[in-house]
Amino acid sequence: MKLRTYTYLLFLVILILGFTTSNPIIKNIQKINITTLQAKNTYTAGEEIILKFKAEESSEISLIVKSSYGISVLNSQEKEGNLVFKIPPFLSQKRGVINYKLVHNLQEIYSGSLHIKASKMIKEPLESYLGPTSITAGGKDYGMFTVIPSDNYDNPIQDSTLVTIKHQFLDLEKDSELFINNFIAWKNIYSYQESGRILVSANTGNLASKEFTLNVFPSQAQDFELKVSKKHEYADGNQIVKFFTSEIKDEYGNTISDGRIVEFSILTNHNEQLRASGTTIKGVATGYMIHPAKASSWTAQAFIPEMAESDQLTLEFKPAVTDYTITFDKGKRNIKVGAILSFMNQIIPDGAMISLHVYNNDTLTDTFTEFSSKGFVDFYLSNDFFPAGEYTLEVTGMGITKKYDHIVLE
Amino acid sequence: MEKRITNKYLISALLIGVLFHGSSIFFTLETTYDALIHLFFADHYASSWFEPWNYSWYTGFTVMGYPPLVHQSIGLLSLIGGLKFGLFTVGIIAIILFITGVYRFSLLMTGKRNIAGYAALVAVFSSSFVETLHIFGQLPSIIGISVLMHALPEIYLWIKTGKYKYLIRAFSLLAVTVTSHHVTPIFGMIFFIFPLIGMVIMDSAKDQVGSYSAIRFKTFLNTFFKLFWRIVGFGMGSLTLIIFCILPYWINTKNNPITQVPIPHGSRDNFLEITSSGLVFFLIPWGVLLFIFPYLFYRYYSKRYLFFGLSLTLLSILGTGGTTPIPKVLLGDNAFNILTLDRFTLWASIMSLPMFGEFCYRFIEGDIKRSLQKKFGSVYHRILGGSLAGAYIFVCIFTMSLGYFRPSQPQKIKMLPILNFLKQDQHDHWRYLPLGFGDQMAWLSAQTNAMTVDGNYHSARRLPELTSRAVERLENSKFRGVEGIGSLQQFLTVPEKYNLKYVFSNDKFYDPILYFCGWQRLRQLENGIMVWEKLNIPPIPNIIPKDDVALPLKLMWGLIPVITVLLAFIINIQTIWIQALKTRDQNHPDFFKYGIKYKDFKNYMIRLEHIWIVLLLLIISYGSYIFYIKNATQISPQNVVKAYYDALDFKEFKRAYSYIDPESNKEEDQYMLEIAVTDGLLSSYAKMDEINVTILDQTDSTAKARATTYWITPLERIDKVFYLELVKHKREWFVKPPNYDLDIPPDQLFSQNKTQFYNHGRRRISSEQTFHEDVLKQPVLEVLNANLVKNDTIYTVVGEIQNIDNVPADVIIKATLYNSKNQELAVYNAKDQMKHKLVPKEITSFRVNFEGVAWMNKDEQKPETFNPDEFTTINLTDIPLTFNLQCAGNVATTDLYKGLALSEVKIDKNKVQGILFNSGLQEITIPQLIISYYNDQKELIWVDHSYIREGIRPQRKRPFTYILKEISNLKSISQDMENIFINGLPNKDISHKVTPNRRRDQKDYSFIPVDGTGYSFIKIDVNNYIGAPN
Repeated sequence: MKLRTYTYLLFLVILILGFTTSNPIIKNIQKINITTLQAKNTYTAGEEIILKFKAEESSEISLIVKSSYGISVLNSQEKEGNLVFKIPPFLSQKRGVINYKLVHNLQEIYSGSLHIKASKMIKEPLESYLGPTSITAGGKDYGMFTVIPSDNYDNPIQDSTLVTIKHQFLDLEKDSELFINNFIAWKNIYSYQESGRILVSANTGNLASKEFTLNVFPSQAQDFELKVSKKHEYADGNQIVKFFTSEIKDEYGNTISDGRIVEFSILTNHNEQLRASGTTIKGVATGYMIHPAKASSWTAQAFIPEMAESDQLTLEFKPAVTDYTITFDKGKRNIKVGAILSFMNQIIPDGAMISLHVYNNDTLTDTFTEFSSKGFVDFYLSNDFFPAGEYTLEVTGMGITKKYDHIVLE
Repeated sequence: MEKRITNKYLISALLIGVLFHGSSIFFTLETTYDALIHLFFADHYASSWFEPWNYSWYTGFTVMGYPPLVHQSIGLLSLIGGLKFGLFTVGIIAIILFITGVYRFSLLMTGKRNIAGYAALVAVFSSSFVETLHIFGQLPSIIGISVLMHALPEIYLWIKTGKYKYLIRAFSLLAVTVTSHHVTPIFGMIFFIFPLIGMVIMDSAKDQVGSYSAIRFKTFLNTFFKLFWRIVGFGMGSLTLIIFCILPYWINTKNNPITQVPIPHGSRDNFLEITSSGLVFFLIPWGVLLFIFPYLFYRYYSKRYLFFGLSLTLLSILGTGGTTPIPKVLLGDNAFNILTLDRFTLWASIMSLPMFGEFCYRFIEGDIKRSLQKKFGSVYHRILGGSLAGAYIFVCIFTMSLGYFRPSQPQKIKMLPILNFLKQDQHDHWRYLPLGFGDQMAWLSAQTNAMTVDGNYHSARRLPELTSRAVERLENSKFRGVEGIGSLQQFLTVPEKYNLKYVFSNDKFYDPILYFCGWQRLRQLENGIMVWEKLNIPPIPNIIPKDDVALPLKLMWGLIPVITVLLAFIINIQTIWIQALKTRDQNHPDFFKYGIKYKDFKNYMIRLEHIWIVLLLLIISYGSYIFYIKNATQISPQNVVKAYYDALDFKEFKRAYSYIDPESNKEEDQYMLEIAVTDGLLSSYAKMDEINVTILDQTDSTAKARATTYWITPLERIDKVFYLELVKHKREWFVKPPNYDLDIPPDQLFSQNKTQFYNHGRRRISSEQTFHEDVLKQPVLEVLNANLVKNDTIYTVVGEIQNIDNVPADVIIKATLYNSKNQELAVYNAKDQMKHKLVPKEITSFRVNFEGVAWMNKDEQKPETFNPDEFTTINLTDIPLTFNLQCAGNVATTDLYKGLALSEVKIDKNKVQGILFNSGLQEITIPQLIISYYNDQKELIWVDHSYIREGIRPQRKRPFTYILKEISNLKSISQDMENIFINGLPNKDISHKVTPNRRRDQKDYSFIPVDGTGYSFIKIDVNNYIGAPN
């Protein structure tokens, strides 16, 4: 019981003593008088900035600097009783306003601001951009040229500075004078009717930009002509037909640029489709197609897909092989086709395709396909697979079909 | 007490072992499966010891998935002499630890120093050790089991004597085992320590009752209770060690459970079916031990070793993998699929070494020798000894040379050009992917800062694209069928997801898939590696996410392993010192008392051994006979057809020619020439998967066969039917030579003009960012139409896109599906159903499939057959109603060949037949047809593709047939062109500005009218891959 009473008492005493401390916790604010020692508050970027102040008491005073980079705190270097602050280069090189405060014991005791202008030393080459760097001819398309002249410290220079933007195209050289507005000067360079290369540059005073290149490509292709060249007019399935276009031009008479696709489309009288493609060089595209193996009539047309097309062209192919003989040998098991002779009675080049269909009781039992070699094709119906009996044989190839009924194999 | 003399067998074992293995590891270790992986981990520790996160593989993974001691040791040593120095030094340490470990284990088991010496000597050439070290390169595994063997005598002595110094030594060694390999102590507990405890109890019981034969179950049980607290003390202590020493590993395992689906491993095969696995995982590790099986079991089933006998039986059975169902039943499905079962055979063979040593001792200077000589004479004994030694040496040399004759790895790749490439021009700001590097990819990763999406430690993978598939590495995906190529295709189709820009290809097999996925060849490095790049890939962001772990875990991981080694060294140095230098005589440890006397070897054992050896020889002869019959190539028509295609598959054309009918007048030179000029998907990029030969017709001397072959190519699974005629001459069957292309092109020499393009890249050599004016404008493209369609249940976006600029463009199309609330459902890129390279004004059709990660659900049925062309559609959470297309063009300068022409295309019902004609100057390796389907309003509704299997040489023809699809169940969902963007700009504006006068009516020229189900017109475009541009 006693112990508890003493504890209460002790607690009470401590509580009372706690409220009766005589010293106030918060210090009195002492205003320190500050006088600035510099007259200047406008500087040029890159110039050394030193702020000097005269203070009654110089201890524990720091400078808070607010710039577009954010806030920094600087400590003073004391010289002859004065406060001296050096603004670090990364701040003094940047164009704009710097606000500063002198602070002592968390209290602001002085404030002011500085103005930093862009340096007169302009960086060469002038910072400039051009884009897009390729446009089409015709005067509708353009590339935008932008100049942002800046000083040595990468500060944009003052507005209303005169900038000359020049461009050259063929014999033409043009320049236009512009004033910097909101740090930049810009101009749209429009294409001309001719394709080619526009060179663009800019100057301010005696300072220059780099040379920029604006490629002007020809515009949309116009319709064109289709031409053909072939070695002979026979369907030998071997020679190659060459299709080529006239020099394709755009609406302004420029030859279209290299590498554009031209598709050659052919429809035959047998309702077969053929397609070849080529890319242009100096406006001419070439496509190649192999001769048909049988007499055909071709209708050809060329296209730049969904943009331009040629006229239609008709080609006729006469049969190269008019007939060939077939001989049976070795119990009619050896079937020899040939000699297959081409249009001048020459042996047809190797590789002519001949097929043999074997029918037994009107059902197709087997098909053999062989390619000619030295004008002949040989088939052999082996004893093992074609037992002696009556068969129907059909030989097709090079546009000729020959059917032999009731061939008795021995 | 006998005078301690140095054990000359042990000394010779150590000398021979270090000399033999120490010098041969320089030629074998780097080509093993695992060594380079350990090297990569070591490099990680060497450069960032305490940081467990590694960015190099799998878009980041933690190295806490593998006990670190061996890696850290290599890492530490690498600071002295480089990574490889560290690797080889640790390798030599492993060899010494293994030989001495076997010695101590054998000494413990037999209690005789010269027998232990014999065991150490045979351990040097033990085929399982040779295989584990020189073929598999499993250093942690070897060190783990070796240190465990060192710990066994100490464990024995602790339980036997109860002296704490033994317990402390045992724990110190066990801790090293734990930190070097996690599986070894866990299974070591079961297979080595439990039997050991049984043996201690037996020995103690013997002390009580006088002899082993007097031990009854009751005595055994009583002794067990007497030693109970020692056993429990040891058990609890070692459990604590296992948990504590690699605590971060266990925490990591719990936090990142292995989601990887089982990856097939040869040790789980049925060894009778897949004989190569049987050889590597059964015959080689057992080796000569197979011949003395009866002796091993006879000895291990004696009363003292009874528990070792049980353990050995279990290990041998588990080691048989999938041959019997028992291992699967014993381990359960899960463990069976995660563990590699070869380790059980390794442990079994190591467990057999003391008894093998004993056998050798008894055979060379003991009672077996006496019995044999008495029974059969000394000549027989010598012959038997000679054959045994001969067989032992043969198996050892055979194992060593396995890696030489059947290399498991591609040839050693010079890494320097690749490292230089990655260093240059900020190429390491993107991820790369090696293809066909084998385990050397780990060595590449160890040397470069650049990161890859692939990796070589599949337990650590986190990307679902990889964990859901049984693919070891993307790098060798061709060996894993649909899962491999399928995974790879996903990475190649959407590479921007992984910032993957460069592929190093060491295997041309992958080239076609790279090309058709829109990649382009950059250049060939001087080591022959082809570099492929993909345009329009953003670099890796500066800050990439990682899974951080608590600092204490990092400290534990970094410090404990090395501390365990230091502690073990300090604790055991005294014993080693005394034992090695014989500085003072030491009492024989307890187990010396229990060695048996070797006299009067049982006659029935000699008989049993003989029967066993004869049986084994019979089995071997029968196996060889079966092998011969299966592989006798010309014994039947089936065999010769199979052999012929096998030879073609392996490009052994000389062998293929030997099966050609010798009376066919086909000269060998002519045959070789005909083969040499055929190129294409089938002959250059295909691997035969399956062949079924049916004999259609057969007489005594001739036959007609149909060979249905299935080939794996990077693009699709090909089936091709060949009809062959066969003849028989002098009891051997031959194949009649196939026809070849007789076609003669018209021109011997011809010329063509073509436009070529060149892009300087950076015109100024500068390590700064590329100058603004050197950045080319992205070519302008225009999407002509796009259609979100639903085919059956699958959503797809099809459309047509044109390059309307004046320069060639590489085109990337990314489509996104949205539901009615404009929530994103799926994103994917167009894969190979489009031409990725467009010359100015060229149009291509495209199709975007929305691929999901295959088999995300475990219940999903995996396809049985291989088809890389197959893909898993994404699981959409809602019904897509709208779509968005983001197309990007970049200036392309390569792969612009336009020489492929279509000729004589005609429709025969649902069959399109025609001839492809190569009119240009390049040899086309793989022609591709892109077929667009249009409805009666001439709206594009579907796009399909087909690869032509044979290549086409210039001025030559190749007929093709394409079967039209049935697409009656197709529905168009949206043809809205509003949300289509080209290089970030709206398609509508481009269309308005650049091509206001489009001639839409002109389309008809390319249309082929067909009578199809669901469509009325088709259009055929051609694309081509040129394997060797010149």
